[in-house]
Amino acid sequence: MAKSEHNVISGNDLLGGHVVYWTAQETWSADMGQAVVLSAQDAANELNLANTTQNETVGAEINPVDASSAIPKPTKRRDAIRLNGPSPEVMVFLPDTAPAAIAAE
Amino acid sequence: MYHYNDFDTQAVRDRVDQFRAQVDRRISGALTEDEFKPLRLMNGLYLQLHAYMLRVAIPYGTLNGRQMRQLAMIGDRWDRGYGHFTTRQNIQFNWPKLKDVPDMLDALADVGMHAIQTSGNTIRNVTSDQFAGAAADELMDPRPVAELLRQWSTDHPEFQYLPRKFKIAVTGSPNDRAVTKAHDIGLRMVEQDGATGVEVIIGGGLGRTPMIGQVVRDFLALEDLLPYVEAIVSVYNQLGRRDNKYKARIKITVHENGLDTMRDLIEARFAEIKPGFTGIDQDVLADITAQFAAPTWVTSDTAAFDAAYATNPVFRSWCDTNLTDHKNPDYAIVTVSVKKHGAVPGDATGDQMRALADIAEDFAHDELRISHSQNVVLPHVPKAHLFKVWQALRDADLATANIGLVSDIIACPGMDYCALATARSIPVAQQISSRFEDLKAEHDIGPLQIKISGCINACGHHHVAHIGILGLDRAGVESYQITLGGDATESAAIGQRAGPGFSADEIVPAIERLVMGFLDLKETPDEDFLTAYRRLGAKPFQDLLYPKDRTAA
Repeated sequence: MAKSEHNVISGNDLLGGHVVYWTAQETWSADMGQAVVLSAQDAANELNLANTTQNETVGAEINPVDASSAIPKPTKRRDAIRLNGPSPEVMVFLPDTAPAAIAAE
Repeated sequence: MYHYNDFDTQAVRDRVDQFRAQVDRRISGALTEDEFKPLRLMNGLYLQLHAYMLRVAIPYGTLNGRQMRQLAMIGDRWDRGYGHFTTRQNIQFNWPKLKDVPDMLDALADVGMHAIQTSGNTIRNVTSDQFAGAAADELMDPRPVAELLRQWSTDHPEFQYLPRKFKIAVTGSPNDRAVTKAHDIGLRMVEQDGATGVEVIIGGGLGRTPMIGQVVRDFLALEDLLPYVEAIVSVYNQLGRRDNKYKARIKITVHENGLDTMRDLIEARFAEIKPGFTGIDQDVLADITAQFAAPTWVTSDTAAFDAAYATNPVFRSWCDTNLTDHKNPDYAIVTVSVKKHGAVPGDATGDQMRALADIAEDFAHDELRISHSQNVVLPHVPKAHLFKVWQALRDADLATANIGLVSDIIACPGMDYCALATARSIPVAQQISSRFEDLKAEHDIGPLQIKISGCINACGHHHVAHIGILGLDRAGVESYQITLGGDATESAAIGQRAGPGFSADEIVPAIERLVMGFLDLKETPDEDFLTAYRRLGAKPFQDLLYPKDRTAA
């Protein structure tokens, strides 16, 4: 079970492979802004539901987030890279140009 | 080079058709992910952090222009316009869509390539010396043996569910450029009493338990090669541990049972199965060998090369750094750096791949190689063509003169792509490379191998680097351990951990302190890093990494 107070559920789209997030409407979206933020207990329960959609999405997992702003921010580097793309594409090492989710770490 | 016969062609086409049907069934929902996953992995299709990844085998690293051009087309049409050359002479496409993969495999089959057994607990792509057939120091071209092993191991019914993955490397030269001692089986051509045979090494491997391979047979007649290799894999298949993934590689089998016991079991199995090899393997080998005949060498006037070398310092620097002696003195081996300063190691764009294909066809007997160092090799370039080759490479942004130097870094994809990784590798490589370009010091530093892995699985070969960097996760934060004194050659050695790890912000300055400090430790201007390390031991290098006023991470 997730330990974080705030969490989202992510997976990979079956057809495209891209990262998608579980929404409050119990669907998947590529937009983190649509992700539903869940407590640890709720995330565990919702994960079971999310896993029933394996013909849409593969590898559903719980990711901790910082929910203090309108769009949740991943708190783990790996999850931030999944959200924003590989470093060579987003210049993660350069704080001035890094996407907000990474620069805030 | 080897060209598929009708059997090869049909086998690969059948496999694509099978996989196309499996993908259709997965998309329709007829197969669950649990059912589909082993099927896609058998065809080299992984699901990574952001996307699917297709790993394509480049057997023993050999390509022709047509094949390279097809890889470019695949990258442009179904990926993001590039491909990534790996440390095992494969190419990976990082962004395919599931429904497109069967078409990608069909396009590969059009040019005699496939992705079979690039994943799973099977015998993987057989790798070799990137200079095979061209090197001045070679006893025998290892590629016919590598191709024989490829044919034997592909879809071998006994070896589809080994305890763990299994990697074989072959070299025909006493100077080991194929890292044979870090493979499950390493095969080195040797001479004994005027005959050429094979030294057989088993139990090498990197990963979480790095081990240098041990010689199980110091001389094996070539005609015994296939039954002997089959005996090794057969013994491993029975004895290898299936109860613990982390103890399942043959290196652990050798370690736990001892080399002598392994040798006894292998020899007994060899004696048992050898009568079944009635000579057909030798007939196949003879046919394969004929296809690896050397090109028809040309002799041409080298005046243009000599003049350019004497008058053009940039060309001269590239020649001095990127060329290797060819067995024909009228030729050179060109190593093309896919490591432009600040670029992603091993990434080549579609345009660059097409340029390489053109150069190979126009100037270099239509041969290309991929090295385990993630560079591209033109193995047969007449010296008369070198200036034109360099100009064409320069036009394609591929003329960086850094082979074997500090910016010629091996790096695994790391946490930017890989689902297993615990830290990033690529940005570290990019930053080190850019920093030493700014310092303009790499030619003064001399030969130096930095290798970076983004997790303990060691795809970046950090254990056998002069300076190894291992990225780990420490309580959610990337931490980079440095190892020193590793060696990937015939004198293979595992590097020793230097001390506490460094944060992502600290690792590049630490490498700069270490390497620039080494300049003051050189006994002579020509002394290289590894020689100095062996002469002086770890202490002065640790002092550079961990100055007294530094606070450990």
